[in-house]
Amino acid sequence: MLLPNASSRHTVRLVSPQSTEWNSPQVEGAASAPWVIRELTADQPSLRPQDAVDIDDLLAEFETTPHGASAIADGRKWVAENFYNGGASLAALRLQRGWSQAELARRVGTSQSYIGRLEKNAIDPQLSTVRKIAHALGVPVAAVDGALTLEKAP
Amino acid sequence: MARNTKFGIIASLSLHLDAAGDLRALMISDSASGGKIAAFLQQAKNDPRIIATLLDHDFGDTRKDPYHVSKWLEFWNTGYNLWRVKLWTFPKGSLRYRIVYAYQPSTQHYHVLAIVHRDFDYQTDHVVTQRILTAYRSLGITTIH
Repeated sequence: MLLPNASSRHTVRLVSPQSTEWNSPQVEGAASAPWVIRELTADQPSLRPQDAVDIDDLLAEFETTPHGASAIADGRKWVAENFYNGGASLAALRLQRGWSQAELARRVGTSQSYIGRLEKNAIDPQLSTVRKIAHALGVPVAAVDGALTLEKAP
Repeated sequence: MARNTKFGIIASLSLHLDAAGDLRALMISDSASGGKIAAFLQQAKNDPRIIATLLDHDFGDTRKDPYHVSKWLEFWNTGYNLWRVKLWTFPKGSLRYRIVYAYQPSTQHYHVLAIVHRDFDYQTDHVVTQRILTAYRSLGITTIH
């Protein structure tokens, strides 16, 4: 049996067409509707077997002990150095600090799926979000802007 | 191959209970290696560019990339969609453990089936091999790829 993975879910935001957030192309009939679909995330419900373990859940389990948390943080720094060449992409900046997407999200005050979509270049963040990420990472705003530009690179 | 389109299917990854047990044991016996493997698997799940390469036979064989992907040819040739990845260490060598996984094309899902010591050497009559094959069969993946 396959179950939806809690860490990847559909997101549907409903906003008024008159909202300042509304900047998508108008759809026929949408202007008269009280609410319209503003955003569908890129995340598809991933189907994992019922008797399987999500890697995020397993790492969270390891991180409940100081020794495990330290080993996982060191592992992420190793991934940053070896897989991202110590680079300056958002994923690299995060991993260099030994953080999961969930940890960065917690420090920024957003969701893990939002950070995941940023790292996949699926969305363009607002400047205020870029500032929050820069503050959390302890880097200049320009560094985050550059990191997001790197994520867009082919 | 994994896709990362706005509304397309995105490849996903999970650990079979056996593999989760392997990783738990490794975190106790060799947490430095366990931490690296765990972090790699989490980032593979998060980064479509990594996960897409996990079906690229011989990816990284020249050490130009930080890991080497290989079909488990002995079983691949009989229809099993079984793979393994070896994580290089620099400037030389590799981690002492290998990640064995299966790929399910119908759901674009990677099933990590085992974390094995390199001395395991993929012997077909090894008890771990039998465990992996049992886990593979339980997933219902077609043996024709």
